Amino acid sequence: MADPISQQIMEAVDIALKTIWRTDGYNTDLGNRVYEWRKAPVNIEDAECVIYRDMAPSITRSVGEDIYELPVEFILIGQNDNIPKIARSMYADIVKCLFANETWGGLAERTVILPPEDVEYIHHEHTFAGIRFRAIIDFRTTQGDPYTQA
Amino acid sequence: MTLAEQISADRDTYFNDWGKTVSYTQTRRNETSSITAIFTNEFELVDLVDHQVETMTPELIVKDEDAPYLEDGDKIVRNGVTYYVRGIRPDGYGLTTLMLSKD
Repeated sequence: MADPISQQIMEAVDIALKTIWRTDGYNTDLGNRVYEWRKAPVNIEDAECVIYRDMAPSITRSVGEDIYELPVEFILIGQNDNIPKIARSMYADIVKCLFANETWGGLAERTVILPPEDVEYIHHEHTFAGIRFRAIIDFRTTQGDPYTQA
Repeated sequence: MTLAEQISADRDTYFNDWGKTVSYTQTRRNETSSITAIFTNEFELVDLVDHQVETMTPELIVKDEDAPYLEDGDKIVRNGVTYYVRGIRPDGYGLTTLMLSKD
């Protein structure tokens, strides 16, 4: 049996995030360290990185189909001696990547990016910053069948 | 011996035993001097936007008389590594802990 549509979308998200490289037209190398559902701490020497996880979707029943709103949380962590610039670049790169792929190969109708919920920066051995925000991915399946796109 | 003299003597013993020479630059005055200070660099887990980050926390303890014009951004060079002062915590008894960053 094929994977559920949500799994197919999240695989597409993972692939897209891993394309974020300076050599491919972005301003960061976030694609070098992409972690799905990572709970373990990140060593600051490993930043820049992006951690993402899909959350519980809301499902609305419609005529013959289910309309999904799938929230995906992104945490971006970077360290640099010019941390304001790198923080803005990390966020801009993710926005660019998500909009470039907003239907995830036709699996979804659209992707809506919400404003950052949290932006922090800290001075320790290095100066580092974190940004947390969500995107909502809207897609439809046949009613009662998360495996079949409507 | 007065209490102040006793504290000063204890401090000197502490620095003689544990201190190392570092280069200190007061950036605004552009004055560089060699001072004896105690360096620590502890591991720390830091909460950052709902996640945890592993990092080190370099700090330097100095005698107030060795660095009377401390400011954020002053430069410390220790073992060839450059740090910048990012926080200043005087203890009120003649010692100050400097929070350091490589950036």
